[in-house]
Amino acid sequence: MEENTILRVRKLNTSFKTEDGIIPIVKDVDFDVKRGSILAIVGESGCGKSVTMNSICRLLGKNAEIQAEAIDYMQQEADGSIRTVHMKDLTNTSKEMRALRGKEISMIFQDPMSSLNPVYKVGRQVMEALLQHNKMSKQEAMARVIEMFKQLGIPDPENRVNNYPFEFSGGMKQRVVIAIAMINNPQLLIADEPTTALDVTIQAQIMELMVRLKEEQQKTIILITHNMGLVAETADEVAVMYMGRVVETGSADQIFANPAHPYTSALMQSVPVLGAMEEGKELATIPGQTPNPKDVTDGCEFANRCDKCMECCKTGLVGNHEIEPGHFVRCHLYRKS
Amino acid sequence: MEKEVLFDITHLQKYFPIRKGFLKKHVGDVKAVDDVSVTVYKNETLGIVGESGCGKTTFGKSIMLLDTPTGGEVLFHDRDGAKDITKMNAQEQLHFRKRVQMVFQDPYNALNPLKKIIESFEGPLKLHGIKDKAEREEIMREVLRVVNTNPDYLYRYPHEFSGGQRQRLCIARALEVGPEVLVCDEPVSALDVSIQAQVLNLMKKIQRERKLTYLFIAHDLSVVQYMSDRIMVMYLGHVMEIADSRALYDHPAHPYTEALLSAIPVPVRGAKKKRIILEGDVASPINKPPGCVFHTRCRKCMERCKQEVPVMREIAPGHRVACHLYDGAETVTEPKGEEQTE
Repeated sequence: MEENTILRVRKLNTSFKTEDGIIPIVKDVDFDVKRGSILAIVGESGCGKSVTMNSICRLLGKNAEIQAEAIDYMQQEADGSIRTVHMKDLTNTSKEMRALRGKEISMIFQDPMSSLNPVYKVGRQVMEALLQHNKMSKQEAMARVIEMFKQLGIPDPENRVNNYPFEFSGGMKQRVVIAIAMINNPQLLIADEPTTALDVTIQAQIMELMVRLKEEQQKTIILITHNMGLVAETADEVAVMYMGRVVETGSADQIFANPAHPYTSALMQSVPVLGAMEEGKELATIPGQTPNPKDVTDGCEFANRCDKCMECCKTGLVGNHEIEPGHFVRCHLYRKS
Repeated sequence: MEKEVLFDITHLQKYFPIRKGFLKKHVGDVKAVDDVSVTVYKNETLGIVGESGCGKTTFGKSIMLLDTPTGGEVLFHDRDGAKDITKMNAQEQLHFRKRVQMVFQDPYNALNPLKKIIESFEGPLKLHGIKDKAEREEIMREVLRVVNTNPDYLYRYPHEFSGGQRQRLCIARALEVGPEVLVCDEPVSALDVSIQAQVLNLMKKIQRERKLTYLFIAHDLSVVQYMSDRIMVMYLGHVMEIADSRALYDHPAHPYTEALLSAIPVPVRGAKKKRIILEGDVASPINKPPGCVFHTRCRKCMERCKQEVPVMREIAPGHRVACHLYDGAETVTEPKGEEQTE
C-alpha cells in the first residue's frame, strides 16, 4: 500500500431495494485517494458518482445496501502516526462514524440554496458543526466562525454571521456551505458538484478557493463533477464513471493526453471547446442515451452506445487493464493477447 | 453579401414594477432589460450570453411578446415592410406569433404531464387555423421526423421520455406552425453532456434545412460560440458588447467579456490561461449602480465610469462595445444593418 493514501476503496457495491427489485447502482468500485491531491470523479447524471460518495460517508437511506471489501480511511493522529479506520464495518449512526463525518471527512453539496436552513442565522449553522465535535463556549465558537468566514473571503464577517441565508447571493451561500465543511479542519473534503448551481464568474471564484485549500493547507479533495473543463484545470487524478462502474482511472495528464476508454474520449469530444471549434465542424455525439439502471444487461454497460463494440463486449465481465503505469481502463480493446 | 434585416430593436426596455402595501403603491422597478439595441439578420444565429439575472431571458420573451416591453421599439421586417410589434393588433399578433416560436429551458416543465404529446401538439395548429384533423396529424408526424424521433410518439405521455427526447419534442412543437425565427432559451442546459451534443447538432441541421433564424440564449459561452454567428454579451439589462463570434473570442474588447471568457474552464490539460477573477457579485437590478453598470466589478474602472453611462461604439466593422476605454472610436447611436459589410 502506498504511503500517503488517505482513502482506499475496494469493491464497493451499492444497491437499492425498490418495487422493481434490487437494483445495483454502484458496482465494484475501486480507487485510492492520495493525501493532498484532488481526485475528480467524472460522469453524467445517473452514473453513480454521488451514490459512491454517499456510500462512503454513510448518508444513504434504509433501502440502500452497501457492501465493500474495504473502505479504509487513514486518520492522521496528533502525534503524526497514522491510524486506519475500517469504515466498512461501521454503521450509519455509530459513534465512530459520527466522529469521522464532519470532523475528518466533510461534504460540500451541490445546491447552496437548499443546503442551508432558511430560518437560522448562518453563523449559528456553521457553529453547530463546530460544537458537535468540540467542547467550547458559544463565544469561542463564534470567534472561530468569524475567523473562518474571513479566510474564505466573505466580506464583513462580524456582521454577516448574523444574516439569514436569503441575504446572501449564490456564491456567498456556497462559501457558507464550505465554511460548515471546513470549520472542523477536516483532512478530506468531498465536493459534490460544488459549482453547478453557480454562474461561471462565481464558479471561477469558488474553484480558486478550493485549489487554494489544497495548496496552502494540504487538504485532500474529491471533486464530483460532469464538467471536463473543471477537471482539466484542477484535478490531479481522474476517475471516469459510467453506469455504476469506474471505466477509466489515471492521472489527469494521462487521461487528457490519452483518453483510452471509448466513453471517455466520446465524452471529451462532445463538449464544445471555446475558441477551438473549426468552422462548420459538428460536435461528436454519443448515440442513444444512458440506460435505466434496472435495464442494464450482461456485458459492458457501454456496449450498446460504443462505436468500437465487439462481440465479446456483449457478455461477461470486462477486465481492468493497465495501459501505462497508473492508468487503468476497463475495456476489451486493451486486453493483452 | 447583403444581409436581410429581420428584427430592428432599438432601446428595448422591460421594467417589472414592485408594488408594496395595501394600496399597491409603486415603489420601484426591477429593470430586467434596460436599453438594448440590436439588429437581427435573416438566417443567422445571434447568441445572447450573460450571467443569471442579466435579462437575457426577458429580452427573448420581450421580442416575441410573451412579455410586453415597457419601452423601445421592436421592428419586425417582412414582405409588407417593417412593423413595430408592440403596436400590433390582435390579428397581427397572431400572425406574428406563428412566425416566431420559442424553445424553453426545461423540457420537464414545458410539456403538460397530463396530456398525450398529440394533445399538446394540436393546440398551436388549431389556433393557427388548420381545421382538418388528417392534415394536422400529417404535419405533426412530419415535424417529429424532422427531429429524428418516431412519429408514433404522438400517442405517448411525456413521462415516457428522457430529457433529450423531451427537448426534441419541444423543438418539434415549435416547428409545427412553420416559424422563421426560433427563440431558444437555454435549450440544452438541463441536458447531460452526451445528449447536449445530439441536440445542438440537430438544431444546426434544422436551421440549415429550414433557413431559420435563431436567437440562442445561454449562459455557457462555449455552447453559444459553437452555435452562433454573432454574440451579444449582456450584463444587468445592458448590452456590453456585440461581435462576430470569432472576433469576440479572439479580441474581446469589453473588460466584462474578457473576464467571462477567462472564467470558462477549458477541457484541455495545461491550457491554463491568465484568469481574471471578478470580485463580488452582480449588483441588484432594482438599484443599479450609476454610470456603467459593470463599474463595481470592473478591474479597469476609471473615475468617469462611475458617473457616465458609456455609449455603444463601433471599434471594428460589426464589433460594437459599450465602454469608456474606447471613447476615441467612432460613436454609433443607432444600430443600422446597412452599415455592416460582410
